[in-house]
Amino acid sequence: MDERSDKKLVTAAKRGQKEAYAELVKRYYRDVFAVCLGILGNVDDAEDIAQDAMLTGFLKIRKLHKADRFIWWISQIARNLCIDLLRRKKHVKTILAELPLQSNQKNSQNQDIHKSIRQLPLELRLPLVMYYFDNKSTKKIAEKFQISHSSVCSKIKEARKQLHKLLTGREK
Amino acid sequence: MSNKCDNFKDKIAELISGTLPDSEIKAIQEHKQQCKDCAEFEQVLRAEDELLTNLFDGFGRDLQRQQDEVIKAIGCFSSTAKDRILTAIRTIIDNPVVKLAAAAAVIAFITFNYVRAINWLHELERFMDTCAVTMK
Repeated sequence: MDERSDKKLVTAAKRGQKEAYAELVKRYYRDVFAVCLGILGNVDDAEDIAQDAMLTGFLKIRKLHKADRFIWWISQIARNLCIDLLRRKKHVKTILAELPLQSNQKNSQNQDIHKSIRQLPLELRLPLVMYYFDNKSTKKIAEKFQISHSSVCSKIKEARKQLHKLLTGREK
Repeated sequence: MSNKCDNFKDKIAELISGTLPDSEIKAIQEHKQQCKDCAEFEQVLRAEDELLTNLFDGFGRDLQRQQDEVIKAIGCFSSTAKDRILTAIRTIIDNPVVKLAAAAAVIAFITFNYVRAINWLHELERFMDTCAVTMK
């Protein structure tokens, strides 16, 4: 099963083979979670939406025409669900400020950095989260989401600089 | 802070992300030896990088449980009779031999009807000729 291409797995999943879709979940859950975390900036919401996106994908798999573009397609589903959630929570900034601290933020350093990540603009936060979730491979991010490598690099550099500014409270 | 340092700090951010071309690394190393501020900046960015790595590792540890929950939930979706019939039809339709046979059937149908239409036109023509002769 591990050797099967995404295309074959998607085709099998379209025929109702749950095992094939389960294999796609194993392959791409991490990426979907990273997209959600990058957009929402909150671990609990990211978990809910990533799981929701994967289940929605299972129910809608027959609508996926280009079977080799599963990761792009499922990421779009996740992205749309995240945007829906953000719309429901109209005053996002206020809500984020009121959110309780995450259980895995054991020390104040982590609290600071997590808070700063949330403050990054979405267009910088998403590539940064993807970068740390994808073994720091900018090329993989560019391939997966079909964007230019230079654009990924420049966004990560900018995110790093802005994060530093937020953490230290000064320019550069 | 000089513009030169601004430029080097940009490069340091790229160096830590692993996206800086090898050809530019030497220039940064040389600059750091002369500039305490940039050397310090690199240390701070590396510390932040380590913090981020640890933070995301922490998030990643829980992913196995989450994906197992999704897989379990997928298993709970029971197929209805309608789903099973549709799946069987899709499996048949997806078969390349079936696709070829369907294409051949469509071509045969079109050819058969084309020949019939031509014959019908010829008959009509003959009928019209007969009518014309009778009228005369």
